[in-house]
Amino acid sequence: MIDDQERNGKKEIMEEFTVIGKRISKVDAVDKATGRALYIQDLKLPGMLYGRILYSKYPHAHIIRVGTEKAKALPGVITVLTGEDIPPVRLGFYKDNPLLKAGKVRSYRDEVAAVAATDPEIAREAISLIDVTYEALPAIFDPEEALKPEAPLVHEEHKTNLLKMPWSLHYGDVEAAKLDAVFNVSERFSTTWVTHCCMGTSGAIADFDHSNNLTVYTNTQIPSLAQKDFQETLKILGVKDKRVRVIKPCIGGGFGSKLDTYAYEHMAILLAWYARRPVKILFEREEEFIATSPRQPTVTYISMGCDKEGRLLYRDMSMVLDNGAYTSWGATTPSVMMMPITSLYRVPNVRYSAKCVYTNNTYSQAMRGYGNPQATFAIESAIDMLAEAAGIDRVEFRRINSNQPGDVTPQGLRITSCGLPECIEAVSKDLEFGRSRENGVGVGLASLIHVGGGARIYKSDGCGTIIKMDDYGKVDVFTGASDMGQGSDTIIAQIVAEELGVQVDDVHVFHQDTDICPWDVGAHASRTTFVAGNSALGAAKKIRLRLLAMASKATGVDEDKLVLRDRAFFVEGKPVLPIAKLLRGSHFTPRGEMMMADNFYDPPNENMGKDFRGNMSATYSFGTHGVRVKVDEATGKVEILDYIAAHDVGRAINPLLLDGQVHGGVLMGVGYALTEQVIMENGRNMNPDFRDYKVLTAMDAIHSKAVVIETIDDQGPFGAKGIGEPGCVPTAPAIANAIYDAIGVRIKDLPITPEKVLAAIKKKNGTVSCGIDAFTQKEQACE
Amino acid sequence: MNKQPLEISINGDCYSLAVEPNRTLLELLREDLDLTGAKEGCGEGVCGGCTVLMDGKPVRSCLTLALEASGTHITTVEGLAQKGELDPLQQSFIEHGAVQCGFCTSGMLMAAKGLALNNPHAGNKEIRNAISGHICRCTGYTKIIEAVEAVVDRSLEKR
Amino acid sequence: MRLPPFAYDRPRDLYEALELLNSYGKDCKVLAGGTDLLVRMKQGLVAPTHLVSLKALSELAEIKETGDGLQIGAAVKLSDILAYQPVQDHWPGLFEAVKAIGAPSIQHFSGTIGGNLCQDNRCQFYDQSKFFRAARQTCNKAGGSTCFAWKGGSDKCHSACQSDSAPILIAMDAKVVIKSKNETRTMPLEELYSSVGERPLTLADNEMLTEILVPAPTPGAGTAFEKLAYRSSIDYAMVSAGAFVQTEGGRTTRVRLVIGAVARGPLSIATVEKTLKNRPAGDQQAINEVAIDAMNTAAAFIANNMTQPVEYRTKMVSVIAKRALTRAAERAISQKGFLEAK
Ligand SMILES: Cc1cc2nc3c(=O)[nH]c(=O)nc-3n(C[C@H](O)[C@H](O)[C@H](O)COP(=O)(O)OP(=O)(O)OC[C@H]3O[C@@H](n4cnc5c(N)ncnc54)[C@H](O)[C@@H]3O)c2cc1C
Ligand code: FES
Ligand code: FES
Repeated sequence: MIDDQERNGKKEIMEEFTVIGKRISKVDAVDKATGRALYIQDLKLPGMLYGRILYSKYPHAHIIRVGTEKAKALPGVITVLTGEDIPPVRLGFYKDNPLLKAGKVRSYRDEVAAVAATDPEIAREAISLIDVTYEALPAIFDPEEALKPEAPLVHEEHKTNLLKMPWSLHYGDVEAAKLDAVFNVSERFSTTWVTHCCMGTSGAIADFDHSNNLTVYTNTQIPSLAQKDFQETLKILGVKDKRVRVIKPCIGGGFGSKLDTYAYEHMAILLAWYARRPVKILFEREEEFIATSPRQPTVTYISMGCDKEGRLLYRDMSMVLDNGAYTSWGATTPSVMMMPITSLYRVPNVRYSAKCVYTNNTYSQAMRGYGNPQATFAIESAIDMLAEAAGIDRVEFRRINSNQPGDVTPQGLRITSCGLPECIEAVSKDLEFGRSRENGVGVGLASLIHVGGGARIYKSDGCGTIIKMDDYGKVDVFTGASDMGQGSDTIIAQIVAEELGVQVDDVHVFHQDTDICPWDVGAHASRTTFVAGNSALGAAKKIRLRLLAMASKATGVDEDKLVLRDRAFFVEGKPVLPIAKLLRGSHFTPRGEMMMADNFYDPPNENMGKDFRGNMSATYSFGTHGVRVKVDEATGKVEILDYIAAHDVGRAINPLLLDGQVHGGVLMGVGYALTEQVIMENGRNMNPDFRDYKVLTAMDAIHSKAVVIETIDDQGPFGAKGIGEPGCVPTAPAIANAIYDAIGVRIKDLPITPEKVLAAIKKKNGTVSCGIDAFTQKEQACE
Repeated sequence: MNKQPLEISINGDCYSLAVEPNRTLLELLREDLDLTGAKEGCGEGVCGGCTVLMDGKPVRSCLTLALEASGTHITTVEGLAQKGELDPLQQSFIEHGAVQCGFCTSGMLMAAKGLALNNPHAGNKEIRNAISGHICRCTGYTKIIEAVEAVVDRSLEKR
Repeated sequence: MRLPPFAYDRPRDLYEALELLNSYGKDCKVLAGGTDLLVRMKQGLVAPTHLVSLKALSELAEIKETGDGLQIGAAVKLSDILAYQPVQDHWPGLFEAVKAIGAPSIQHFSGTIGGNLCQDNRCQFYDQSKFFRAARQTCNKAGGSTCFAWKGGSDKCHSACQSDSAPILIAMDAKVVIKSKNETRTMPLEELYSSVGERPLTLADNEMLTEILVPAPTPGAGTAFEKLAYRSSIDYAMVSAGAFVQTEGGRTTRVRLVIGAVARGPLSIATVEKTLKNRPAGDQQAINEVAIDAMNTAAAFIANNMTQPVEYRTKMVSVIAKRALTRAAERAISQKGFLEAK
């Protein structure tokens, strides 16, 4: 069916789909809603032991002695390991993180010893019986301080606390542009530690068989890379040429936390190796807070300028990132920050440099948005300030500078489809910018760009798929993708079902097991819909072609007259041959064939070059968020009255899941903006629980409206682009901008807590008193 | 420590058990009876993952001694569906996209069920209040609230 | 997280319960809803060898209105207070306070009013796991000799009483009935609180709170409760306030203001009566004065016992006090209950 239709102001051809674009329930929802779904928490193997890790008592210290005698003597304790007992396994791509520390600890989170016991409580007690003697060293917690020459070194052998990473670029001529600019802003912004707070805590089970093949059950977003990491650990243990199988149970949330392999996984492997029994390590909530890697704090200096008409001329940014004591992907977030910095709005001259700095804090990891939220907070706050300086309406300013389809940005990102102008329109219309309002109420907006077509960080950005069909027309899809709850299994099932003319219920997606699923680089960069979707689509297309050829042969009808839908072949609207019948015939016949196909899809994106130029993603997602806030000027509390999130998603393959990604992302973003903060006191996490780490509740939940702009991307599966992360990217600046609009104070440091808002009001009004002013007897804003 | 007798009905099945006084209801369900639908997300009452119905009222099983549940009727997420028919709330959660990673889902369902039993005409604010002791990191709550609203609406239609 | 071992009793009547308390003494704890106690036991803050459950004591689970006012058994569930129509109609401040406790599925259906009043004080350095506390010296409350919540340290414990129902009940002049095997005493609720952080209640080891008595509503009276927290649910208060205002002919005749969550016990503001008496109810200037007094009084007590800054909490005392007093005065004049007022 072909039908011309006006959409988003663009004329285009719209096909009629049977499952694409439909609000289809998640394929795993029934299991999850009935309690059948199994998470790592729910798994037990026969003979399984329980592992536990001893963490450091100091943020920076020499380890003098680790006394394990008492722990070993405790009945039920099977294995006790210290840094001296094990071969040198090192974690992370920078290999600066020994699995168990010997000689020195560099943060409170440092793993000093581990035990395996027959019961979790025995393991806990054993841990408390390990005596460690430390000799404390001076520690450093502030990344800017850590860069000073007199600062203590976190890794002596590294000679400096500055990580040797090349994060620096300069396109065009920023200095010359500064001379041309008529209006300029120059500001400092900062963001703080926040953490993923997956509701399901981290955990892993390691199990060796008699031939030393290893199976690891773990929560990971990167099964194939994890497999490789575990192989390396085996190699260091002297186990070669054995099979490593990674099985993912249901994951209770990812958000970037499971992008690397961690000490608990490798520790479970070592304990299982020495104990010769399966070992499970499962974090309690407190451990989840202190021993998983949060999003790192940043300090950002930004200056930006425009000409008389408000056209951006340059953007000049530098950043300091707290890497913590060791290195994981957190240290590579600048590579993604470069994208908004060089390419959010048209800006011809850009300079950026970032320093990742070792401190004695916990080590950082990427979290939903991979650095983009930190960068966008500074950019979009500064955009509002620049618009004000130029005397141009904030919405108009963004219109003037909006990216457009066909743009090539200074970094070399090739903008194909781009719905940013439409997103800005949708938000400004909905929130009625510029209308007169009551006191303390204001509106703000902010936009985003994000990778929407994979992100080439490794040599490969690919994903494999295998599809087989059985005699009854049911489809098994084996994908490399990882579903952490975001619903990629459902999207893949929809894509395959659409292509093969079957129902979503007919498709079973397997993603849990590296023994049966093909390779994939991992669930990051919102790449799964685009990359795994295209991979599945390619495999399904192969099958479709074969089915059509077979059906044509069986029916004698030309292939191009056959329509495959509703589990059958149709000719002129009439069903002529059920798929199942065709399939049964295909192998119950001499020289028969099985209906199977595989496909590996690697998107046409580019690794960044030396100067960081390169089209990192095959396409880009855009969006604009708008928010109306009310500020209680006596308490400083910010209430969100309305929220609208407009996203260019290419095509909404499943609007139901899409809405879910947006609503969830937005509330996470609101928490980032207003309440969430890992409170670090000299390297120690002071709020390792949900009482004091303030994830918003349903009573604080906002009514957010998700607007979908479809731009039907040429490269995307059925035109779709990625949308997993963008929901939380522009939230904080949109809120900060709205607060400024409401009460005229600009908060430049996240989170925007009530006390910061009050302090800012006080500063603005120059008031000294607070609460109730004793002289005027008026309720006063206070610090 | 000495075990004490416990008579309890769980999802309509009666159990005569002997449990240690320091066993929580959550441990009894998950570890002794393999009813792993209730989840431990914090163990200290904050997250809501372990919520079950005790005599129709939502309570934290991580902060309830198994022995304190003696003589009561416990409903867990496994007991919501009746004779293979999903509970309308389960159906609605599934249809409305209220389930993402699913870790909070059983607790959310039990809180919602408690509300539906005690106040079948709850409005938006009452629904949000009823699930306000449950943290969900994935959904932003929007779809969960919509899912409960839809069931409450339906029960209104029936009248 | 497992609970440490203990023995469990479920007495069938109050007499038996008091017998048990008497014989077990200080090694024993009353178990009501358990939503406070079991968290502390998991954290290793208390390790009673015996728990005496109130579950079977139907005599403590009754709420009723009598000529003298409201009689609430100590084991009455928070949800039963919220569902009790007379509370909604005549004691809106109490309704607000109970509703503000935690969240429905955390404790409204299992937590009790007695447990709420008798919960131990809290502090960000104390209410933590063993692991967390092990990194520091033992503080006063845990049996050591230092306080991390007080700038420069202190030989006293500076934990805060976090009960949300205590401030409003004290403001309404509620009394409590305390029983032991051999004795029954009735005293004003404020006397339940010792203002000693290490041991915040005046209960003896063999005593139990059995009843809360709230005076009957009088014409021209109004009550209100205010709570400030980052989130609208789950959170303990940064500052709370309970206010009672009695008016006659539009003028204030009697008034009480009690600030919660800032001191070792609920903090009664003494000057409020002097300042507001005979002034027109709701007089903003007078209320402002009182609010300032409240802030200044509280300033002497507020410690760094929560993750929110001391200065901010101090300043917010005035705002929260003012809001509670203003609303109580409005209710005194309009004579509306909680649900009507909404
Ligand atoms: C996540 C979370 C959030 C919370 N938020 C709040 C909040 O916002 N505001 C608030 O006030 N509380 C809060 N609480 C604490 C607690 O849940 C409530 O105070 C609840 O009302 C306690 O009642 P309970 O019956 O469960 O007490 P229990 O835990 O059973 O008892 C508490 C203490 O009182 C003693 N006790 C109980 N009854 C008696 C009696 N009759 N006589 C003598 N002693 C007795 C017990 O021995 C114990 O020491 C929160 C708890 C959690 C886990
Ligand atoms: S596990 Fe019981 S509330 Fe979190
Ligand atoms: S669905 Fe993941 S926490 Fe709620």
